[in-house]
This record gives sequence, structure tokens and C-alpha cells, in this order.
Amino acid sequence: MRMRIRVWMMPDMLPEVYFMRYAFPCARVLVDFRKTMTEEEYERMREAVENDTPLPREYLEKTFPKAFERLRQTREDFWNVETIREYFCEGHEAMLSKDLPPLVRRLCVVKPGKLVKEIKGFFRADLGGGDVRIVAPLYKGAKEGDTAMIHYGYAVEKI
Amino acid sequence: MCLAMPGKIVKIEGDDATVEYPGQTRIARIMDGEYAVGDYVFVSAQIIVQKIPDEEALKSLKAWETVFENEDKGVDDA
Repeated sequence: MRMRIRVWMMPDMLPEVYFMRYAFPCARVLVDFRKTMTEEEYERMREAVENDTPLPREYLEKTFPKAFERLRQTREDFWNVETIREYFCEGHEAMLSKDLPPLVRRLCVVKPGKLVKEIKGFFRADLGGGDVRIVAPLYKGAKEGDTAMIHYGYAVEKI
Repeated sequence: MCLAMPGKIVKIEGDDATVEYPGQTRIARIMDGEYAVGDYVFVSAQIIVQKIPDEEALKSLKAWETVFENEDKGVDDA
């Protein structure tokens, strides 16, 4: 089922920053499971996401090869918000390897959730079907009542 | 730090849960909901995100065992 999503975003958000916000939540898997990212790199990415600082495209393409493999298939000029959004919200699940643990496979799917309660800067998010998580917001101005795209334990973007 | 996997709560003191992983233990904060010692949980940003059903947790931990086994043998993970 194709999702029609109205994207709320800062007009001048760089596609690198947009990609990083969606990719950061599953970067932990690269550190712990794939061992293709170091702790230092993870920390650097976390800080960059917090400050909306873009990391170089070459670095992102090298570090998240599966995402870019799929993005390249989508269109030639994939460094734009719409194409990146489509990948994470629709194409990401298909790229998950069969060898990943079930928990990772489940939490790696990007899904909408309602921020039903704010708790000290975090939110209880209801994704439906009994999937309730405490999430950290990655976008500014997050508030109760928002519906946001959820990736692992993060509310990435309001929709 | 192996955080992309479920950990087991071994102690709860107020809002702080001691969560055990293979080879290490971490403290995570309970922001919301009820938890018990023995529960498997997913932790991110030092908080408990969600309780994980035992079956899913145990299957996931088994999948992780392969990663550790390969580490011990010095196998290069592709």
C-alpha cells in the first residue's frame, strides 16, 4: 500500500541532514551487528543529527551502502528529500537482510505513530497494533498530538 | 556496546533499571509503563523504549550469538 505523506520540513533542510535523521536510528546496528561503523563515528553522527550539521555525501554513501544501492535504483538524482523519504518510508524494509535478528527487523521498519503523551522531553508513541514505544524526538517543536514517522526509538519527522 | 539487541532487566531501583547484555550491564531509565525483573527490553538513548516479548528476545539473542562466535573465531563479518 502506497502511503501518501505530506512532508513537513524546514524549506532549507539539506538532503544530507534529512537522510541522516532517518538513518541515524538504525546506525546502532552498523556498530553492534555489522561492525562497519565505530563508536566514534556513531557519536559524531549523533552530534551532527542533533545540530543539523551535514556529513559529507561520500561518507554517507560509503557508510550506508544498502540505502544508496536502493536509492540509485530509484532515480539518477537521488540526493533530494522526496526520494530519500520514499526510501525510508517504503523501500527500507525490503532492504533488510534475512540474517538480522527479528527485533532489529521489526524496529527497523519506519512507521507512523501518534505522540500521545510527553514525558520529560520524550514521548509515548502509539504505532497501532499494540506497538507502543518511548521515543526521542529528532525534530524541533515536537508535541503531544503530533503524528510522526518513527524509526526504532526516534520520532524522525512530523507528518 | 551492544545496544541494538534486547537486554534483560536484572534490577529495578525507582526509575532506574539495570539491564544486562551478553558481556555488559547498563542502566536505563524507565520513563513510562510498568516493568519487572526478568523482562526483556529495548534500550535507546539510555531509556527503555519498549518491552520485548520473550520469544522475540530469545530468537534475537540467538541470532546475535553468531556474531559473537564469529568474533571469537576471528571470522570477518561481510
